[in-house]
Amino acid sequence: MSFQEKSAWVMLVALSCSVIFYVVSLFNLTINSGALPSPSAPALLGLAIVTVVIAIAGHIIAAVLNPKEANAPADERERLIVQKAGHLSSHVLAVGVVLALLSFLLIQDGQILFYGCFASLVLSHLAEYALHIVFNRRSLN
Amino acid sequence: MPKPFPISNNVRVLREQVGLTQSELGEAIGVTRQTVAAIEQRRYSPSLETAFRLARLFETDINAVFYWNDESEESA
Repeated sequence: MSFQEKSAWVMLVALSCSVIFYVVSLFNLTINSGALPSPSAPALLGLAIVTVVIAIAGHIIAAVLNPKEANAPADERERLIVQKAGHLSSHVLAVGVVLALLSFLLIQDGQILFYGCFASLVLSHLAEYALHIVFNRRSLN
Repeated sequence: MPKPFPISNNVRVLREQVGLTQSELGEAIGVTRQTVAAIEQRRYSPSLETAFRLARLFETDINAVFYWNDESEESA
């Protein structure tokens, strides 16, 4: 497994764990208060910190296991994988943001607009990491 | 299932003839072991520069390393 693929796995796990934690917290708050809570900076900061901590720990472990690969620059195939995965995942972000904007036009709810855009951002990143893994294992065709 | 690239190659045969591992070959031409494996398995068509680097390393013509595979084109 290349370092790029290991890195993608680490980021996929880190982001998935922190998002699951965030969504469960948000769900519990919604159940308790009976309404979707406003987006809060501390909760989002917590999400970012959990993601960064898991990502750093994972990358340190991956780098210690194979320092030579970790320090090597990306080669032509890896750069192509990054470009292609980034291009495809950008569609997820674009569609999500457009849907969130449309929902705002229809129901005028700023919270749904925020959560819609945020979910699109998270999903596009998850898609990007997943595509890194897929393209590392299969043809780039 | 993605179709293989229409360009076939003799990289594995030539690499084994000169007694190099995938890692050693990758290091010699500036790509990772995984990229060499992907080239050998026709999951990736290298850049022209890498193709020429391979031919130079094997001390042969580029046509002896890479060739167009008509069967892939017909089945596509």
